[in-house]
Amino acid sequence: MRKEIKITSVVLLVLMFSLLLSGSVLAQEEERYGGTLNAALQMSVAHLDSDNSTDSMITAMMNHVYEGLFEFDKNLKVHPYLAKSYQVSEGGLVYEVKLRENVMMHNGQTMNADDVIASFRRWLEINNGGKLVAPHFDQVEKIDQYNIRFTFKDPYAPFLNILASPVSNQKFVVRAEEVVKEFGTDIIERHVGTGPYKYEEWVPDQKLVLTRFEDYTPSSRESSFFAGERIPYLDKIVFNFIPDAQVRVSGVRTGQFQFAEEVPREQYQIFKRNENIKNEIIYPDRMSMLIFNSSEAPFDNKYARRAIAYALDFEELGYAMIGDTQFWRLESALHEEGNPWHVPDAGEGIYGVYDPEKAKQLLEQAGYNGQPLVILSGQDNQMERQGAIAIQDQLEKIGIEVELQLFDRPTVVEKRSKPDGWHMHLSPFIKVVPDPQIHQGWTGTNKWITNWDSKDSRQMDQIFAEMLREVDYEQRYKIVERMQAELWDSVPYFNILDYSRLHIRRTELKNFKSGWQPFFWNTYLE
Amino acid sequence: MLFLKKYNKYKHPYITTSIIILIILIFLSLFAPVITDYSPVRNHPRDRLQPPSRKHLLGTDQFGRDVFTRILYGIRASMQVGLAVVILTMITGGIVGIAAGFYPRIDKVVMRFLDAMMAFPGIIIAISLAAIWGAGKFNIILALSFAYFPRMARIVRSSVISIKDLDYVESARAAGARDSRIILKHILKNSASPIMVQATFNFALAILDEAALSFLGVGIMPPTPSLGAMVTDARSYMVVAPWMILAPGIMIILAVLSLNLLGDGLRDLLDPHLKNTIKN
Amino acid sequence: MRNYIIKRLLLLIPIIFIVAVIAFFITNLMPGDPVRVILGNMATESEVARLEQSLGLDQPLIVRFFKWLSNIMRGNFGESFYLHAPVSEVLLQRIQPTFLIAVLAEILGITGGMLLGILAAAKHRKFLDQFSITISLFGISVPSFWLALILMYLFSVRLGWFPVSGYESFAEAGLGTFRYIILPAVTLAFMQAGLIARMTRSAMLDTLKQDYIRTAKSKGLSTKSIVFKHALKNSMMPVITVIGHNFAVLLGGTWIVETIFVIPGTGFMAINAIMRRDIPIIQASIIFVAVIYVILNLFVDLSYAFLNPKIRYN
Repeated sequence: MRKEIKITSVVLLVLMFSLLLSGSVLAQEEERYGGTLNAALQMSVAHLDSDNSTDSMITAMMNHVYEGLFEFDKNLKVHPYLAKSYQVSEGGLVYEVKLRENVMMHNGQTMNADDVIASFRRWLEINNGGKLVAPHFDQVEKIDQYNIRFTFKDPYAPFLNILASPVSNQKFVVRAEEVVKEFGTDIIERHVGTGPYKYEEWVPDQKLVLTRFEDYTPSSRESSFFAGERIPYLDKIVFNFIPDAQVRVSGVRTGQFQFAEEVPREQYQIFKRNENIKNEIIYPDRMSMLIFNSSEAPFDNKYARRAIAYALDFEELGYAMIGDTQFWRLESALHEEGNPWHVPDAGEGIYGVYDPEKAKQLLEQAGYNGQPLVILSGQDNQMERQGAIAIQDQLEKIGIEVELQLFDRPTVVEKRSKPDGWHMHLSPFIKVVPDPQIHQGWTGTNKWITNWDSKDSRQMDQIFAEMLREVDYEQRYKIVERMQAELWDSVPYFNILDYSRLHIRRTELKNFKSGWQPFFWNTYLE
Repeated sequence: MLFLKKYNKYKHPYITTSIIILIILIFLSLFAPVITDYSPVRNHPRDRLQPPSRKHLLGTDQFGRDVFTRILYGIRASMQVGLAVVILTMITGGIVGIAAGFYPRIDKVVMRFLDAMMAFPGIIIAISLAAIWGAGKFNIILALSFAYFPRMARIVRSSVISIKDLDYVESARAAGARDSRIILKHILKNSASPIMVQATFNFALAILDEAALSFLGVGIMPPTPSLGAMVTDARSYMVVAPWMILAPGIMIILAVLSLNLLGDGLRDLLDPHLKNTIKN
Repeated sequence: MRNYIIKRLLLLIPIIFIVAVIAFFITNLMPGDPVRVILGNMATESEVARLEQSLGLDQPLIVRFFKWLSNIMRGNFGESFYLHAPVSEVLLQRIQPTFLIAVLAEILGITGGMLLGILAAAKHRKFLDQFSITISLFGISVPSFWLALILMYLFSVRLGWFPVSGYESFAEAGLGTFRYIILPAVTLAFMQAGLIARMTRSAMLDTLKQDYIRTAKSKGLSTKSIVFKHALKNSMMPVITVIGHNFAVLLGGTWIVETIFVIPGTGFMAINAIMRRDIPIIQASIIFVAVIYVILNLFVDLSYAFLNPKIRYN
């Protein structure tokens, strides 16, 4: 009897307590809604059509408006998103994708196979990611309203990774069929997607305004970065384009912005002392890449290219280029630690080995005649500008004459696209690369600006061709190892170090996850 | 020399002050390698962003370079650019101005062109030209000279016209003197004052504009120190390393201010009537 | 008088024509490839060729020049490569902040400059004179980009009196707009004040030496009324010249100051356009400044006639 009472009372208590708790949780949930988020971004974009550009900032912002069939999670693992499930068959030739049903689009209709197919065809035709896929692709068919079949001519291992790629603008996003029909391959100026926010206003060079899509249909999967449930707590997101770093910082200090992208790393300690501001160091973020012009002497010889790796003190470059050690780390591999494609012993014996004598000896072996070496880089990027100055300084210290050419962006992109007139170019690369195949874009015979055309480059092409067909992870990883070994042997370019940008946010912005691209679903203002 | 005679007579305070400052600045920039042991370009990344101390009088920048040293070499670059621009504008402006003033047939065409050139603010011409030719000390000098020469040409032209018909020039001509001789002997001698005054102001303006161009990234090519580029660098570090921004700015002001002061003094001394016709 | 105005207006035509020619060739000879900037880092050659064709950049320079010339004759400045809108429309959108900054800077400059100049002239060779000379010298010697940063650091970052950057239009913020433009205007006003103070002072000193002033003085008029009634009026001409000539310099100054304070005016637009080679915008910006300059100078010359009836135009 007593025991029963005890149990009953405990049960009652627990019930009551949980009721209270759930009430308050609900209330809290409710309180999270509302508010306008002002984010300060560094660079403005030319337009908002991700398929028509390679500017990753477009994807970063429009990720709130458009969503992919597949999206990456925190650990760079790909998950179905607008897709419900998928099946791969016939040795990687056929992908059958089932779509989520009743997903509302911003035009009030629900998404179906026609939207996906129209968007996919456009992507295949004009998007850089799509163009990688196109030569291997056969056709896309509508099975029914919510089922689609993608068929390849030959096996294409990186397909899903490229569809969901978070970098550049390779990602495939679903747009309403009517919009694709209206604009064709022209730049899209009317935006109808499935995302938690819809396009409201764009003032070129000033701001992009997004408002909450009230009929948003979230995914039921667990939320992790881009994958899983997205909840639009904020009423409005305003992306402001503020090119000056100090202005972004001051805006966050005064509360004008709740988030600022890429602020001076030197001010980390100052932000740390400010109780209204939280630092967000982005990992793995970026790598600084030194690219050689392999058609111009002395770098038409791989010994000369190797020599530069020995001639540079990478650690000292880290201090000059980036500064505080918590923002940079030495990393010889193209994929960071923790990435499934990381090769820990890449570049052993050459990466990070500072040996000026060996460098001179290699240069001699390559027949270097003492001509001044031209470093071409941008003025507008701190890593490029400071890195180029520091590299010049180091090479001159060991008696190699260097001519520095720092220009604004248009001049740099024009000059580096020419086969002569420059020897080295320092450029920031996005470190988050979801699939090793993506490196093919700048690695191999005459890829990007390298002018690399030799026996070695053709061997590299061969390695990438094998990588493309290999569907098995273990086997593919071995190919990636070979790619890295070849890279450090013939050195068409090399990564000096990895570094992180520093973003800051106001403390009242809650539940912010610092990823490779900033996103604001699931965040709320207190 | 007329100038020295006049100076000895009046001991103009502007001129004295400005010349003292200028001599100090020239001394600092000429003897920079003796005054400081540091190199203006060599990096010491591990000593970056040090506040002012006895070792580094004005602290260090983001490459660990001594700011004081860079300022000494920076003022040197400013002076070089200023001087070169002054000489170039005097030559080009002189030739164009004399030609226009002396030969009425080409005057109209030249004047229309000069009017059009002067319709652009100098800094805009300089930015555009520097962008075309690319950064670098030599290109900056050309761009600024191109921007300034119309005004010099106008001044020379008007002083040529004002003395062309004076008696002694007429009589020299009547005596059979060649044009070139007349130009050299009489006209240049008599227009020396306004040219000198304008040249001094151009010097000041060139230092200011070089700094502005370097600030915008189309000026002197790094790592060569330039006061303007030092302000650009300092801008990113303004909050953590304020010493980086104050020093180069003050140095620019000192140089420009003393040159303007000198120009004022020269104007007072050489030709008080010029006050209302020349501006900088 | 009317004939004179017509003659002056006709003279503007060749000047603006030369300006346009210079603007066209300067911008088209700039190195740097707008197409590659628009397309981003990894653009392929075929994409580059496609966009070049659609922007008309694949045609020979001389063909483009005549096309462009015939277009601007009809008031069509082309379309921005970046903003996908007609240049004239973009320019109009950006004109408000630049106009407000320039006018406010001019007002502050005139007030401060004339005040300093009058004080200096009235107290010739006294402390106030020296003081105002020093201030005005400082005004014309301080680099505006540096002054802008220092003002921003002091008043926005440290004291928090003004927003660090940005702009809200008059329609959005009403008088609040001024919070954004005060610091940029003050920056530019320094130089204007310096120039005007120097000019006012020397013009006043000249006038004060004139015979009729001496007569007025001997008649027992107070210094104050002499300065304000006679000297000031007669010193206006050189001062107006400075204002007219330097308004264009002021507009040039907005190029740098707007960039620093991130104010979406014509100057910020011009610098941005240069940095990414948005050629039609650069051309229009240059012509815009030049046209304002020549028109203002016409007004200056005409105003001489009103202030000094002795000048006759024939």
